[in-house]
Amino acid sequence: MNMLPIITTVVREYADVPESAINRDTDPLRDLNLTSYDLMGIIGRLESELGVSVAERDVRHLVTLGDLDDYIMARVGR
Amino acid sequence: MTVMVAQCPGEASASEQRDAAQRLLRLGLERAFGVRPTEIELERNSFGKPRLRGRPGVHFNIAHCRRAVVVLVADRPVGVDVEAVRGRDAYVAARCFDASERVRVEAAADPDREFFRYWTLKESYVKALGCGLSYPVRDVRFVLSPDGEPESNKPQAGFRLVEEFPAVVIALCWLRHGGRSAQSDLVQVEW
Repeated sequence: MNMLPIITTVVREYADVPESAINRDTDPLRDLNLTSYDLMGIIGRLESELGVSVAERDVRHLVTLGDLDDYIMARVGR
Repeated sequence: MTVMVAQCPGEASASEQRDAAQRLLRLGLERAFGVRPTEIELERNSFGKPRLRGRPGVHFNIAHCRRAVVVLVADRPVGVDVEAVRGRDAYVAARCFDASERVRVEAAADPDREFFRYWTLKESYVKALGCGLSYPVRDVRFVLSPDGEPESNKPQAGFRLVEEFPAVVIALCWLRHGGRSAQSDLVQVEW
């Protein structure tokens, strides 16, 4: 189980790209031309929908969507 | 400080934004410091903020969105942000604004523009520090008034909003050296 389908759905609301353009290795800032503003919106939305908290100090380490998936999976249900 | 601004007549692609930013940077460095384009050699700090190699007294920062590109050139560390005014994102407000800022945004005559005033100010501070996404933007807070410069809880930094462009909000931040204030020279460049 992973959260990538949910993450992909949220990301696509911010980036006008097909689902096939998004995978675990996607860097949203580099590959999708999103901004730090978009990233804050995506993380905020995922926090709200999944009931997890992403610490600000950790955000810079979440480079790819796979990093974000792993981070959320480790915290869901805590 | 020299603020170079190019407004896009439509919506610029990522590559168009990057090309415009490079052009504005060349123009800004030459105008403010006499640095010729052939003398520009960039390097990055550990957080990825670009700087001019071998010229520690020259500082700049770049911001772009689909509607505009802005380059700020100065003799002290600076940060700049630009955002197109559009519908505000409640998730960003919940994550990055404190309660009093959220109240002031909702009470403003134009809540979307007010929202992006706060956001760009916060982002400009983070960019001036040069530490990227690792800085908790909620920790820098502002009080805006219709007249006068933004007030913040960061006395080591000065802030200014550029309101000349209805489609975008631009925020400038400079790190104070010995309490000096900063004059800003706004230069509009054709897209």
